[in-house]
Amino acid sequence: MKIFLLILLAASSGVFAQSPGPSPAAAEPAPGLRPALYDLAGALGNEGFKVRDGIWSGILQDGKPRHVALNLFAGNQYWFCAASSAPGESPSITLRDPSGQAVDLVPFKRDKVSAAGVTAGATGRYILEIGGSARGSREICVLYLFK
Amino acid sequence: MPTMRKTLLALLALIALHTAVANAQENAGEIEVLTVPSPAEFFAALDKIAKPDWAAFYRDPIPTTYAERPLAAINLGTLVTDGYIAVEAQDGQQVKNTGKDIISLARALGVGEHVLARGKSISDFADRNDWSALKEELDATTNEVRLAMAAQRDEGLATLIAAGAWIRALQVGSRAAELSGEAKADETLSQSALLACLRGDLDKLPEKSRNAPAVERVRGVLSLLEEQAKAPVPEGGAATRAVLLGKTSADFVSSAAAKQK
Repeated sequence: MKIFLLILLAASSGVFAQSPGPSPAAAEPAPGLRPALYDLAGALGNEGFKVRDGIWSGILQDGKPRHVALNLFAGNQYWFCAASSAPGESPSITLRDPSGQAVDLVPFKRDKVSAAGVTAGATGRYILEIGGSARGSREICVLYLFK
Repeated sequence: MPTMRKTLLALLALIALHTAVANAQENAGEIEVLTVPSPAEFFAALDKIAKPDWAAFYRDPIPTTYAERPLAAINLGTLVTDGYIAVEAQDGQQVKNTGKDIISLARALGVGEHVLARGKSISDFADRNDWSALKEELDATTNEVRLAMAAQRDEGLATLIAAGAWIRALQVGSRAAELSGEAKADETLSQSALLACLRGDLDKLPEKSRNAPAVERVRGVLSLLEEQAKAPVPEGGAATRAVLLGKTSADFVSSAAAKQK
């Protein structure tokens, strides 16, 4: 299934290109990153994954990663999608389980966008770590899906 | 595809709120909270392990008028979870009944007009047995209520809706885990961090709101559930934790729904 999903992700380009554009730009940082994220999320949605209603955006400074807390449930499958405004940068995604151990993820990368899939082994608070290789300050956006 | 578009529209509408919240927290600490999960996530995990008889968790209809707005918000949250239960049971009529009650309570809270159209969609999807779309509509309905409350500067009520939804979800999930006898089902009850997060949101309310009787009760029950959820999964699957969580949450849900004298 993982391979199938990776192929699906790789093949999906512009599936949701006509999705509604970002609204009130003043209230939404990083509006340019969202279409790419939703493009990827749309492809996963076709596989039964549901997009959670929260999106996180922030600034990535040099190589210093950002951390986001999530509550995941054992047995559910998740995909985390992240986009960066730095040219050519696909953010790195690391997930730590409630005991602080890094979790093995199924990685996917495309220009400016990364995704990582996992089946949660435990219920609890996980930490998602988003990093990157570019220098300077740039915007990043993160969302996740579950099934 | 139209459903996906509708969902994306709803998502985009929500982005402003969530982004604002996330960005406000940006400098507050190193770890930020992305979102509180929906009961649908919890039920999806339980369904894989325990295959519960979801219809067994229905309850009698609850009042849809409350003198206190915080109490109305808590009960609105519990109704939302009832909607997810009906969707899991794939019971269209029950979904429609619950949807009507959700709209009645939303109206009582002054945000009914925001979800009227959703009520029609819920009814249409229920008639078509489109369970996946129904889950999305319930998500979207809840979020529109939350957004409307945020717009009215009623964030406290929005948090109470989330708390009510989670306490009812824990009541049902605990019973499902207990009945299954599966240690893995019990493991899905390890939600102390989530409960702490909800309690933390209530702790941040202005003093007057925080000390309102209904809010104090929720803070108290969340603290108790948090402690009970921390208990380790017992050997051999004995469902001590599930029983404790189930009793605490059931008592709260039942007393919150009781008609006020």
